Amino acid sequence: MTFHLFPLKYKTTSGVLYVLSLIVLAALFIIDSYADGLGNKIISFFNTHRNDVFKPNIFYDLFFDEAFILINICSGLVYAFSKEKIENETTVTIRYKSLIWSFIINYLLFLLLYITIYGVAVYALISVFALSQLFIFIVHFRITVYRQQNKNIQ
Amino acid sequence: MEILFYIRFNFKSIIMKTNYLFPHKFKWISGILFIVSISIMLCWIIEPDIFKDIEIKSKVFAIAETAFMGDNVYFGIIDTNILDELLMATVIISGLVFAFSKEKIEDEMTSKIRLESLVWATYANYLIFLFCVLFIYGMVFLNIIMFAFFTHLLFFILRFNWEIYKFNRTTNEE
Repeated sequence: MTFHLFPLKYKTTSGVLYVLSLIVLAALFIIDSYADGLGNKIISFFNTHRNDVFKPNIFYDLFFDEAFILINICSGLVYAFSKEKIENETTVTIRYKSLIWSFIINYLLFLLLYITIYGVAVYALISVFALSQLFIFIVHFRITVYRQQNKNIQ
Repeated sequence: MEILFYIRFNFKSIIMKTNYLFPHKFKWISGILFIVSISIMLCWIIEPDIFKDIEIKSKVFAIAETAFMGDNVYFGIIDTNILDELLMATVIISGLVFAFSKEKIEDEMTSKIRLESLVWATYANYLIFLFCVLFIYGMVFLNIIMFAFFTHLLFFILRFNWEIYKFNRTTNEE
């Protein structure tokens, strides 16, 4: 069952990297959405290869964004699918349920926003939701594992 | 009333036992709806002009409407073509029901295949998405992220059903 899982030793490093990259991406998204001028000034330092007229959101054609998306996805996958300290049937069941739950919640949340948001903002919405499933899974999985461990201690 | 009392006093055990799966009877109808709607959606993403003559105009509530040029609307009623919203709702709802419907025989092996397929689909989708982020630029990228959003569900459905088919064939042969 643990065929697809990474070793436990990568968990802490990947977790720290994931949280940091998530904070940077969220900051970029907010800066880009609400203070375009400021965002351009901060990010233009990293703009090495092009000047696009159309910049929908965090996915600027800049090395800066791509580097953080790369870190976010790689560290997120490793953190999400690393083995737990105690890897047993309960952990497998929790992982399984969390994955299904995150799939359903992510798509339903997206649908709810898709039918109420129109225009250019839809592209920003899709780019956020393309990354959010992993986040929802990690949060749900961690909370459930934490609860289970507390219950076992009690 | 009895049902409400049952839910109230057994809420925790209901949550623990829940497996987030839909009944098997919805599988085929949702499957047909999903295949038809996602085919239309993919054609639309590739060639946006094919539905330019079809419009379903309606007044809808909008949290936000942002335009390239013109006024933005926040928390208001707007008049818009809701064809793509209807299509998106059909793709997502039928896709989720089809993907997470119970199988005819639902046992530990089915759960194992489902879990492995979910993990596999997540790896595959994010790695392909990452490849596109790094090597595709400009307007095409917007289509790619639209694709990537649906391929996650699609990869899972394809992989899961293929593995179930292989497993059933092996069992029958034995």
